[in-house]
Amino acid sequence: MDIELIELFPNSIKFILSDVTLAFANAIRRTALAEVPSLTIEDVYVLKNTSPLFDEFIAHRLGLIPLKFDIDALELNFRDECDCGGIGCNLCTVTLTLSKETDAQTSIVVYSSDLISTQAGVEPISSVIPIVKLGPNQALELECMAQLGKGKEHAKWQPVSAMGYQAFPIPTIDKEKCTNCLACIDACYRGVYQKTGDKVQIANPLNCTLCDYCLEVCEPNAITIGKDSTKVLFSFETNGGLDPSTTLTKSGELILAKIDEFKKTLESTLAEEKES
Amino acid sequence: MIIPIRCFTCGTLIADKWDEFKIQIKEGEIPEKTLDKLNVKRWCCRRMLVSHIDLIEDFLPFT
Ligand code: SF4
Ligand code: SF4
Ligand SMILES: [Zn+2]
Ligand SMILES: [Zn+2]
Repeated sequence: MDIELIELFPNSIKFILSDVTLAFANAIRRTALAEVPSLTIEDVYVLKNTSPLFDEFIAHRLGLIPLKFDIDALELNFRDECDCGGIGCNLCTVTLTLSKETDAQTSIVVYSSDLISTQAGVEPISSVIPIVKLGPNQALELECMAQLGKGKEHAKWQPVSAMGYQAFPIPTIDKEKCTNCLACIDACYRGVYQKTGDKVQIANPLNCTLCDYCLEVCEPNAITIGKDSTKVLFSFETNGGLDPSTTLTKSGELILAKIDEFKKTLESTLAEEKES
Repeated sequence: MIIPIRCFTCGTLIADKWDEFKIQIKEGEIPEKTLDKLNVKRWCCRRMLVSHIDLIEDFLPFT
């Protein structure tokens, strides 16, 4: 197995994973989507709301705001596994408060920066997410409870978005057959082909999504789109709570923990079978 | 109503780009260029910003 990084930004990554099957890549993808935990607001206590939006509407918007947190330093429990029995305590819940009021003349937008966290290191990922707009003489007062959750419970806990993989593309042009008609340059929406001098050349082979559309427009059939299924082109974005490398490490750890559990159960079942 | 927090299709955060998008469009920038500048890559996320109408401004006087 080999990993070749193509790009790495604070919230997106693209890399080539060699000598694996697509099934393996899918295991990583599914674990990252459904099992890697993140922190978002789950319960909202509305103390006062005279804004134009309903309580539920605002609570839903608050829930979708990604919160920045350090998964290892924070040491939060999942609420249903916590000693408090799911009521919510400071081992499983982070409280954020919001209080905003307008006078008779002004109207303001309530932003995510108005959410005050009681826990150092936990805050909305961006300070300029509009939550609601308040007109004159309106008020909003909330208490929000954030907790850890997994993507399989609700999509708001998914730490990643647009996570995908594909077989490694190998587009080639047969120079003998090519008539330089330039049709493929217009046809490919991913900008794989480019004109250099008076010849058409493959400029960005990794952009190819294997859609085969260029094959249709190429009259002399000069193009072949090959693929290498032992290599996987993997890319995704994170929603801010975790960075891409942490997300991948965490999903690896979770897969290993599952296999460990499987091994232990299998061993104990076999041992019982032997005794009886 | 008000800009949705995340893209309906892929779940990426988009609401944080709305204010900047609105300012740049008012200054006469082409939406396509603005979206590129804000690093909104996919079609699903781009339509969230391009097709949004802030209705909350309209009915604020009636609340
Ligand atoms: S298969 Fe699709 S993406 Fe790949 S080069 Fe042809 S048109 Fe472009
Ligand atoms: S469409 Fe085919 S023949 Fe025309 S430039 Fe592209 S590869 Fe060459
Ligand atoms: Zn607890
Ligand atoms: Zn999207």
